[in-house]
Amino acid sequence: MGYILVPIDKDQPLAVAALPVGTATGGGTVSGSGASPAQVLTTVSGSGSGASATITKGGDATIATATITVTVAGDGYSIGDVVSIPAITGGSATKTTLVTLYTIVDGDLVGDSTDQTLPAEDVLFAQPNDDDEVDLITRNWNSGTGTGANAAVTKYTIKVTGGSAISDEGDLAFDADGALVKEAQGHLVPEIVWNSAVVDSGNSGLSVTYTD
Amino acid sequence: MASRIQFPYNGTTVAVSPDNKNTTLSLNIDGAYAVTQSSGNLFVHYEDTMGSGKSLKVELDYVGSSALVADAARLMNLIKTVQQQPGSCPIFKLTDDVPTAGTPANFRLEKQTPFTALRGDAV
Repeated sequence: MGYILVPIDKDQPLAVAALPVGTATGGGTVSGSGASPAQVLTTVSGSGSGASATITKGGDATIATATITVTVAGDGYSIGDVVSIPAITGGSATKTTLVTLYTIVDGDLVGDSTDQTLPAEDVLFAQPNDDDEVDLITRNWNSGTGTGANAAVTKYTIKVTGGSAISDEGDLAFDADGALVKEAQGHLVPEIVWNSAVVDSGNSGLSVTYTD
Repeated sequence: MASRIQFPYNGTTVAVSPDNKNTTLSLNIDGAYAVTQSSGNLFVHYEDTMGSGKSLKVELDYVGSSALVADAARLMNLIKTVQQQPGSCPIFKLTDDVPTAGTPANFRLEKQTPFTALRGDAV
């Protein structure tokens, strides 16, 4: 069985969602109710920027039971980055008396956190999908009964970051196909090399999704 | 490793980025047992079967619907050859895809839908 490697960008936007409860520290006394006004995250260590989040008081007055919800994704965050939320004062919504600290963990980023390896032998072809996506259509029947184009088989969808900067999804199909051809030529786990429209904007693979 | 054949790509008048002009895309031809031609496009049929006598086929969509019946036979012969020569990955061009062709884009695969996997009748 041959494989191809999808390199994943380790610096990504945060997922706009609630962060795991119980992992933040600091915050002092948490009071009030309901979501606080969104606060810009300050990067204590790491290189991410631009994200915002709210804090919602939980079952007691500690940050351990509060929910931190990312409302603006920002960009450039990676696992292990430490961000802080300033003390939130005033109003009836959730307030804190001290700075809250949070360490980014796997699952907080919008995409995959590690490079992805895909089995190449079942992949029939690379199919343009969108400006920031390419599908790898497999020969495996899916569980549905679709009869339309590519509707009866499974697929992998590779998403890259910086979609608006990519001039043409045909480029992505060609990039992915390059690795498929190398695999067919006997290369050991060839890596997808993204074109300049992706790389020049500092981006690369973001996530791989398998669709049955 | 899979056996693949490459086909001329970027068959539209809208060029892709300078990186990838005049490129190819490849098709996995493991298990392919027949090639047919219909409406100027080619269909590669695979052994992969499912219920009701249906099997997998892949349509190769050419911009100018320029594939000939003879091209189907030529592609099948190339598939047989490649299956005996793993790693070769040759490029398949249509009969009329010659340097003097007036509209060379017509002999290249469509940009958006170069290939389409379909559940079809076995041939």
